Amino acid sequence: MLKICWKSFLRSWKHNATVQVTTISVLCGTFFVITAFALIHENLNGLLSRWGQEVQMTVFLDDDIKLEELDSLKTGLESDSSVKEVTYVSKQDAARQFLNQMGTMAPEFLGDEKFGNPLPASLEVSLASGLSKGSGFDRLVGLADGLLKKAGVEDVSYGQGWIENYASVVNQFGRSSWFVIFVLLAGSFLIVGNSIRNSVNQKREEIEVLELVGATPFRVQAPFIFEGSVFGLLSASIAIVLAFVVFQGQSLVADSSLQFLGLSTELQFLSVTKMLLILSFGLLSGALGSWLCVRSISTGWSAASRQESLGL
Amino acid sequence: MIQFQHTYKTYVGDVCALKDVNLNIDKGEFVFLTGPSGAGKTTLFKLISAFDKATSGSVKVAGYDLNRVKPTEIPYFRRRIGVVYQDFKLLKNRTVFENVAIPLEVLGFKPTVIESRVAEILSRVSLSNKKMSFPEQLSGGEQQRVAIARAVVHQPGVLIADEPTGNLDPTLSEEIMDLLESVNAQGTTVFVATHDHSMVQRRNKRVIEIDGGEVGEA
Repeated sequence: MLKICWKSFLRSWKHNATVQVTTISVLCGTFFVITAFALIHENLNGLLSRWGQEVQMTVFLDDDIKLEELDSLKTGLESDSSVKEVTYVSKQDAARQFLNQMGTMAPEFLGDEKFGNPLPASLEVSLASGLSKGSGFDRLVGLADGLLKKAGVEDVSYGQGWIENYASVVNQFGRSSWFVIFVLLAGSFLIVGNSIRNSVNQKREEIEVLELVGATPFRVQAPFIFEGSVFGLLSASIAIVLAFVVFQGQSLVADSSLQFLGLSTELQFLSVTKMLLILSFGLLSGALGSWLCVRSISTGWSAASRQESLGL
Repeated sequence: MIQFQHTYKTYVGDVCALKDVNLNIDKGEFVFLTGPSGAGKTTLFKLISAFDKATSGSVKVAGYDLNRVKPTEIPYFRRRIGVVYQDFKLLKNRTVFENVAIPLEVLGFKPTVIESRVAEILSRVSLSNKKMSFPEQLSGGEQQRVAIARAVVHQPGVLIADEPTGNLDPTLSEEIMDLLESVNAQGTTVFVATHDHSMVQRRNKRVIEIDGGEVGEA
């Protein structure tokens, strides 16, 4: 059957090359946009993940925290799988760190005897990598909320503002991407369907002869579905190659002109899984688009209906 | 092999194409169907080849009751018959060999079997030397011989031919009739529609006449 489908595809290509090339070009454009969206989303997520690895949570403690409360907090955090490391910073250590940092910027501040110690003791918590990405971000918020309810905790800080904003941008982009991908895939069904309809019209006589000699509907439809699948797969493959070429060009620009952002090492092309997913989308949208078009061309009585409609 | 019992076919607008047709054709018979244009010949053949359904009555061909057959069974029924049309219905972008091979491909035969069966049938219709030609490179008679070869290559029990000589000159028409007779001699039931009375008389076969949708023996 595969051989028959392949021969039929080559025959279509031979007799209708212009339409075939046009269809593949338009589909290729569609899949290029889909690939670009996936690529941007993957890299935005990658940046979120990298920044997430650098996130530290600071748990500010009450001045009058009891020793057993501190131990309980520390033990609880250390046993949490989201936490990589917990370091206790006493009021004195905090003041020392503060004065050291200020000393580099304002040396006269070091000699200020009126400076008391308003800084609280804290627990500095290093978080496990990737925690701020996706559902991990919710876990981070949950962990902070849980800590705030514990005795001896005054406040929790983990750079809520920018992480929340960035995560929200990435999530919003992800949702918009799915919408755009859905619209483009629907469009690709129509493009494939249109081309297959054209192919069906060109092969009217062949369909009639196949019905005449006892071909099953599957036998009649399979070459068209195969043709649509090849369109989809070929277009998605070309789109991925084009996206890779454009990505390489943009990486070079990022490397030379935007070096200060340090993006060049972070930018990554799509993973093999995502490329396979896009190829599968191509294959399936081609197959589905053509199936929707040809599912009723061979019903056993269709040749008769056609003859009647032609007044034969 | 072919049986009509009280068969009616009415089209939209109460146009009665067949009226109470009762007909019985046995296995191995060669039968002519004659009648003027519009008499109902094509309608009768469309019912026999399951390209249309009778309005009432029954049509039985090669063991299938065509008024009760499910659409999914129609392809399997059509594999047991062969059909030849006046306009040949050959695929222009395929060679003679490829055209004749279509029924065998549909039946799922191996390429080696297809090769030998097609070669054999092309030899029977004297077209072995044209197997790589395209239909448009052949004469009318040759194209009809290809159509007949395609109709019988899978060895059907019944061959129906709707005006197979309608587009051919008298010499070629005789040639095609000789070929159909040789197919019949192999055991295939042959049912031929024609309005060429002189040829029917020369052949001395069973003749069924149809006029105004009514059928009777000549």
